[in-house]
Amino acid sequence: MLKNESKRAGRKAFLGIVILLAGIVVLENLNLWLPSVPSILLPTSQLFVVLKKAAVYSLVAVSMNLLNGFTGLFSLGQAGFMLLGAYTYAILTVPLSVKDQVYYLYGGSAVKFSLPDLFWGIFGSSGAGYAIGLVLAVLIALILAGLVAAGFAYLIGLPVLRLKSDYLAIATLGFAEILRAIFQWQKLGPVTNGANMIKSFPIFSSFNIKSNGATVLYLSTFVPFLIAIICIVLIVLLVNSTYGRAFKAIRDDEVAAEAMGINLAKHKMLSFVVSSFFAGVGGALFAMYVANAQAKVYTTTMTYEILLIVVIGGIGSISGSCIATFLYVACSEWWLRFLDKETVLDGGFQVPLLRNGFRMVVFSVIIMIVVLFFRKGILGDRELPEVIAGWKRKRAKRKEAAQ
Amino acid sequence: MSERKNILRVEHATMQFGGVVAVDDLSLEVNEGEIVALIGPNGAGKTTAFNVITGVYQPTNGRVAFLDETIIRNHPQGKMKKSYKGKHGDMYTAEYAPEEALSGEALNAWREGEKARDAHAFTAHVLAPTPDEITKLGMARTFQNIRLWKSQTVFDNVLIAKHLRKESGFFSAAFHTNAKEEAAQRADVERLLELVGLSDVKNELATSLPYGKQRRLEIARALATDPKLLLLDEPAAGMNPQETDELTAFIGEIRSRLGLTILLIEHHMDLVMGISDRIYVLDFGELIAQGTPAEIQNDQRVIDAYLGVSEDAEN
Amino acid sequence: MQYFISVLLSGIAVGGQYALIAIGYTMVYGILRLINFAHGDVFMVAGLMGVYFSTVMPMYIAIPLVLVLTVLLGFTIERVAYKPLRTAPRMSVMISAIGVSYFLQNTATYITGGQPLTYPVIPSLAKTVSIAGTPTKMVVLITPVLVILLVLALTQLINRTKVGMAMRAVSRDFETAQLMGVRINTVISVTFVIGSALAAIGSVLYFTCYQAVVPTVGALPGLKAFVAAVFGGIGNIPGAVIGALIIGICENIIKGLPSAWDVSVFSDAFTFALLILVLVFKPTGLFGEKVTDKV
Repeated sequence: MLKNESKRAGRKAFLGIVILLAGIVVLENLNLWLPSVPSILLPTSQLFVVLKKAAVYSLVAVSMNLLNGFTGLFSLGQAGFMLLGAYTYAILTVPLSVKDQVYYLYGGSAVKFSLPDLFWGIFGSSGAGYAIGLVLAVLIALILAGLVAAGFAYLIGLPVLRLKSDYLAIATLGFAEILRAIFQWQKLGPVTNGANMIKSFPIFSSFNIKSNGATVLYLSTFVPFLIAIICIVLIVLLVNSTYGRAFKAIRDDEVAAEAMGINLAKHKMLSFVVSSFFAGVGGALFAMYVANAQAKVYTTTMTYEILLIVVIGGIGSISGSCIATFLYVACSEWWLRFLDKETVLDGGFQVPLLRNGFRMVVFSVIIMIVVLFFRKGILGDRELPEVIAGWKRKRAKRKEAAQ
Repeated sequence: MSERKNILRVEHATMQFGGVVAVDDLSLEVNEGEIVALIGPNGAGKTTAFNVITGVYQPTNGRVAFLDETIIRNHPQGKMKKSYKGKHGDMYTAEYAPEEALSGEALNAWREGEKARDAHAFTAHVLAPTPDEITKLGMARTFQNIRLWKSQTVFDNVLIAKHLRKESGFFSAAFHTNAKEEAAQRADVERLLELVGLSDVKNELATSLPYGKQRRLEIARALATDPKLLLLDEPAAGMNPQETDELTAFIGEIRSRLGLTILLIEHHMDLVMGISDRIYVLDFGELIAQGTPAEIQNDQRVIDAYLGVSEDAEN
Repeated sequence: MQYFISVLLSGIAVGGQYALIAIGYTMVYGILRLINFAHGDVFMVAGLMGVYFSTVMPMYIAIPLVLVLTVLLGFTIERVAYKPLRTAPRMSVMISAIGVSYFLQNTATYITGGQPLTYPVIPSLAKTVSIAGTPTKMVVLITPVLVILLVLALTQLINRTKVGMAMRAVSRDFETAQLMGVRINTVISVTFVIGSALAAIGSVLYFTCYQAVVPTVGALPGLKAFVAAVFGGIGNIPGAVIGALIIGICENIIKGLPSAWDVSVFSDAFTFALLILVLVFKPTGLFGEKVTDKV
């Protein structure tokens, strides 16, 4: 019985995802298919910026939630692992044709190959061959980005995972800072391009299908959604497996977990490595989103931002993290933008306070309110389906009571 | 001692925290199928002894053997030797760290002999496995102050304890291709909950249960790890006489149905005297008496140790 | 030689300034077991206030005013953001601290418009003096002296006064101290007041050396001060000072290495490497006490 139920839930979820992805494709191509569309649906609209960034950030937020929310390990190294992913992806996918240009300060790159060129060499560099080569190269680079981050997480985890909550936080934060320094080191310039950015690698808009110079199908929002959703589904599967349950046991009571045969070192490491893998993939996606890789972007502030998203969504809720990411990104990139603009109303009345930077002030006040008064966040530690089921039950009860 | 197979043997275990010797030279044995009780006034070192046996603390001296294999071993050495306050420190330094006493041929001969005697991973003199390794060997415990996983349901609390018996690897678990094993584990959990009488509340949160049921759940959770030896730390704490009687019957039942061996710490003398085959009495970390319930009830030292605290002991 | 002395001197100076921040960290951690991520930003706000006040009033009024307002800020942060979470899990309080830090930085960006401000020159501190033939600023000499005096005063306060005794009691055992009638909230407030006051003094000294004040200027000195506190054994005030001095000196030595090696980028990373080494090999720090968890 239980099995059928979970199967049905799985099928439902799959259907939902397919509909969502189809919806995204339709949304970003309406401007091609309809004679005229409102400006919000144009490819340059803020809407698509928000959707892309939110897709990337939700993966990173969920990966952080796996560690902080489900395993109870308070780590602040997320930006560091994103940096590793971003650089791995960028270094491996800058096409040979532009390498010298990107690395001009160092007289070319020390990495003498490029994944896209490798595959274009096999499948041909035009038409379908070009597309296959691009997809394969990006896919492999993303996986490698995750693996590099995971590998570093393993090395870092050996010494630091023994530490208790706040020491672990500060140690992981320290590692992220060290990584940032290393990647800016001039001596590594031929690989990392020093403090300068690496660019000109395949990004989301590289996936738009073009014909004779004109775009015939936009896929630049679909691609980050697809990748993020695949990764998040994998994390959900893990969380609901026997390992996920062991992680939650460690979070709830470490001593009891160990006494019940759960090897703390091994399971904490697993969670740390898996979380970092997805943070690495997320970092690579972020590089694709901003179209460059530059170490100085991956600061502690970025980690804080992601942590706050996780808190707003609810620590221990994957759907909460996703919802919170979309709200957060939409607010910061779009809905609250007006706060940053000096506004003069019709009567010549200048709205007070509104000027550059006010948005972030309002934003941090909102966050403090959530942290202090709505400590559970949007969903607490429950998932969206549970919450909806709860509502339905309540409504049914109320109906019953009314009759 | 008896012809029954030995399950647990603690030899000269000493646990010293700074200058305090919480357990001093404790030796005890538990044989197959027995229910053995460890009693003593508050602060006598009973829970510390449990923590030593289950690997939470590394003893300062002594050894623990489970199923005739040494699983834990330590001896005071170096810095500890100077501040060592337990008894028989010399003996363990001599027997298990013989570098100081022996040399050359004799030392090698000792090592060979030790290897032959000790089938369990003989690598160094010190053996300090983590609690999870000990649990995997077949020893499970409950806690004095209940330690259930608070955000989990009753069912999941027991299911999580099955984690250590899984055979599928990480990836097959993470991609949910181990459905068969998962189903088998769930069926096991159903059976266990049936056994302890918690089937009707299996979907409740563990912490929403009344106290007595939480204790039962802890026992069910320990049983889920398939132990040969079950260690119960004050299973009847906070229970009323009726609940205690039920628990006494329940412990007897799980022993006979699952063929378990049980070592328990308890203050309720009715329970202890009613079900124990043998009793060890600790006072100030030292073993002051051992024997059958009848022998213990008439032992003058035990009566002295409990005199004046007998009211407390009934709590 | 002269070069070496100047590196050493500025190392001691910056170390002393870190020490003043580190004391705030170590005291708060000792009592609340909280990494007060906002502490570095309190230091930044003190710097900003210094800049703004100096334009409208003379320095001898501005500095005391900065001190008072910084103390008020520290006190308010504790009351608003940490006190309501007294019974919440540690992670929640730490997140609240991160939230406060985020808020202070964003507000500072809003007020300053994101432009770096220049800290006023305080003639008596910025005056150039010469030690062993090495020209240096007066502040470099004053800092260590001031730090020593303040630490002595603080140790007296903690060891001799009633409030100091209460602090020691709370840091040893929060619950028991509460049961014994120690007024926890007062003690915690006093801790934040002292920490903020020292951060304000630190800001005057620090920004006399490094004059640019930007909203994120507190983050790194804050983290370094925390590392110093861990290095010295958290909760231990002299330990924090020694830790801060070591970090300050090492950092300046790294910065002073030949530029061909291009290792100055690691002067910040070094601090964190040190932190990780300490945490891994001696988690209790140089002078910390060992704590055993009860099962």
